[in-house]
Amino acid sequence: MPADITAILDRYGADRTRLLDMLWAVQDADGHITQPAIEGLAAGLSLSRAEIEETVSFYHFFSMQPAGRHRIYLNNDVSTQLSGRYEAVRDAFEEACGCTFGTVSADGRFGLYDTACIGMCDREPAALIDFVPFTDLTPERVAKIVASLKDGVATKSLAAAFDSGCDVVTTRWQRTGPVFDPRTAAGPSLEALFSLAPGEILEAVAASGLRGRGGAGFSTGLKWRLCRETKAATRYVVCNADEGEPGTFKDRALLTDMPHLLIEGMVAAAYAIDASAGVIYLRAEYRYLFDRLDSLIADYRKAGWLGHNIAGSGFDFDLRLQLGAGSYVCGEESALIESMEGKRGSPRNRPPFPVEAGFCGMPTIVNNVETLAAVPRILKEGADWYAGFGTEKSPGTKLLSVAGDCARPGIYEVPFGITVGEFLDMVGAEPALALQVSGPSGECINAAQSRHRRLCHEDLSIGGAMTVFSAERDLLDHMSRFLSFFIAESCGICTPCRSGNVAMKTLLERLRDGRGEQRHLADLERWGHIIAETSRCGLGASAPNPVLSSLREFPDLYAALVDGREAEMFVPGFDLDASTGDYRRIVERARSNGR
Amino acid sequence: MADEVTFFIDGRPCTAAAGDNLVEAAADNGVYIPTLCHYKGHKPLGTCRVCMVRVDGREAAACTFGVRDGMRVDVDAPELADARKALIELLFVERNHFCPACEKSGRCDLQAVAYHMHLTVPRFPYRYVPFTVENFAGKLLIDHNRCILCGRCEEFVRRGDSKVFAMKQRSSEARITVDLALLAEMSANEIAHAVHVCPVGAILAPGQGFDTPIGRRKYDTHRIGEITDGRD
Repeated sequence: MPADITAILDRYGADRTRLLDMLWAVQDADGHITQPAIEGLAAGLSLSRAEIEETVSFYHFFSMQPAGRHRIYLNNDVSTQLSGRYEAVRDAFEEACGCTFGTVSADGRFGLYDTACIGMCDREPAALIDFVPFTDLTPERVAKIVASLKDGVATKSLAAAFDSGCDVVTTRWQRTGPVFDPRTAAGPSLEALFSLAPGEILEAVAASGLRGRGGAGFSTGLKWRLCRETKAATRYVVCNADEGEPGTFKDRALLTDMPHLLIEGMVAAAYAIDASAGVIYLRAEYRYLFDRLDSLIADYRKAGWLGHNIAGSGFDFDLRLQLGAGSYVCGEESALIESMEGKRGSPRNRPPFPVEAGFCGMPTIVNNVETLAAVPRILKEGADWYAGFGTEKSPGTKLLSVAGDCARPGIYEVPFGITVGEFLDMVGAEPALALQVSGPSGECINAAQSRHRRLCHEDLSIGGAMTVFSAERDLLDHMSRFLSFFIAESCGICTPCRSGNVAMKTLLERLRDGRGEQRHLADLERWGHIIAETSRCGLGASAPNPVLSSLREFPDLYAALVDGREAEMFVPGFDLDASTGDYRRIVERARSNGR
Repeated sequence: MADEVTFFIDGRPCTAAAGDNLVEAAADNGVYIPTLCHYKGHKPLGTCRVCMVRVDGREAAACTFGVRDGMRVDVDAPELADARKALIELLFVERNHFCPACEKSGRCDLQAVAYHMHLTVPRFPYRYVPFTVENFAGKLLIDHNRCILCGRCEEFVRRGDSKVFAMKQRSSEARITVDLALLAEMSANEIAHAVHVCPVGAILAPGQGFDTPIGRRKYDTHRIGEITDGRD
């Protein structure tokens, strides 16, 4: 049945900022975003068709052509490559569905697509089928799953049968800590919040030393105060649940096992900065958590913890979920805000920063799931308690998502400041060749030489992803894959990120093919620095990191690529005068001979 | 000027009104900072990054900064000049810029900045990807071979509040496109404005080439059609 555009427009108040929701509604009804739907939405929102299409075409999970009744997105990220079964699982999907990746089967039943990290790194290979996660895949399971789908079994009930009887993915909690423990996490505890003044909350968060847990590590207390101090009609609290950094799945753990901490952290933040509305921006890869989170929000509303005059305090605040549509760069806070406004996820120029002018031009704080979830724990146990963990400049604890070549992948809570050696022993990763700290945008470090280094903002910043590579791995192949990831996820509006990373990749592949020279190693480094320094946002600034950090940490791997080929084999450039000198001398001689 | 401030370019004191666009303030003080996406007097886009300078020790696109009192700007440093040149080179290798065949040759900002920087050959490998030329209802041409994705058409060509041009896809797949319904309403003057807004030869009006024939046939021994005495 074709999507009822009028009903969809009505449901979202013909509000342009809700364009992503409307596009999801169209796609859920029609299977893809049809031309009539684009025309209808353009008319209803007073936009040009081109403006609707530019949003649709930006996002990985929106399609303007029929994309298969069952859409299968198989993760092709590095962590699945390390599982050793990726190729076999991929082949099994193609055989069972009767089509190759990137195409739709002849009967229109299945569409097979590659996708970047879906946050199931400790359970690879994994795929999203109709946005339901299927983990720990083997060729046999793939055959069974596809056969059941052909028999008409509903995707959701099929998933329940495959993951120990529940419709969510069970978290592998390898090590819980003082801050986050699913066994002891209490239910709603907001009474205490409203006995405090907003200023006291700001003080407590500042005193705890809490820093942004997305990786950048900006002071949460300072961010909130800057936002509070910006005069405005309203302010917004945004939770960045767009956990896209390949190798990261710790926010999935919190969203699955302790979502009430997140909601209460957002209420606390809103009360502290005097915000009227909040949004949890949930990545499309976690769409299977949408209904659970939505009903939890409804429970809070019913209990009077969200909405008008919360707990008789006179404070109004409500919260909603915003589903993304597949774009890594939307994890950048200003791109996330653009996406929340129903636009392409291109990062904004800064200044102004979101705390001054964010969602719809209003002061906005954007915080990571883990940051916000820590706030109720800080308020309950005290800022001093929290600051007692970790190091001086990195107080508290950190959740790590551990995957790759180790005995015990999963989620760990650790105090900031543990050494790389302690980490490797804890996860059972000996002997390791390399450790990818904080995903591709972080650093690739030499495991053996870095055992003394510390995981904290003073040394190795940690965002959440820790991927271990054993000595058997072709490390530069994985660095090249990381580069491909950044190339595909670049929003495309700035020159260095869009074009520069392609140049880096071309040169790296040339070296790996054995066609490189010594001077190309210096070129890689210089090009990487130019891209990092001139890019508009953090994606571009960190895209060269896999190459730059592995060049620094594993110079021998690169030296081996140009071994025996010296610079003098090829003279770059062409000196016209020098090359035609013989000819010129002959002509001059002929002239002087009077000929 | 009420709040005129002093700032420094490569150590030299300069003056401007506080908040003035840095690229324009630099020009007023006799310092050229190359730009492609900047459209004088309009809001900064910060997309081409060619105006890369250092503001108070940090790399920044000059077009996105307002002048502040005491601001220290480095423009001339060799590594900055090299980075700016690299960005121009990245644009040249990304698509197919054949200046001699381009209607905008001589009026193209990319070409002019490349000459200014003494660009001879880009350090980056050419991509050699063929792009299409689209003819929109005989009213407008978009030559994607020449587009630098600066976003000027998207931002500065509007009908009412609506964008006439938009960017589709992302990454190196990104393409400029035009809204056919809005294009149909555009007058010849509005199309001429769109052609003018484009800093390169990507947006063109059909039927319009060079204003005057370019160059001279300097090796002709005689002009074609000239009556000769039978000898060549």
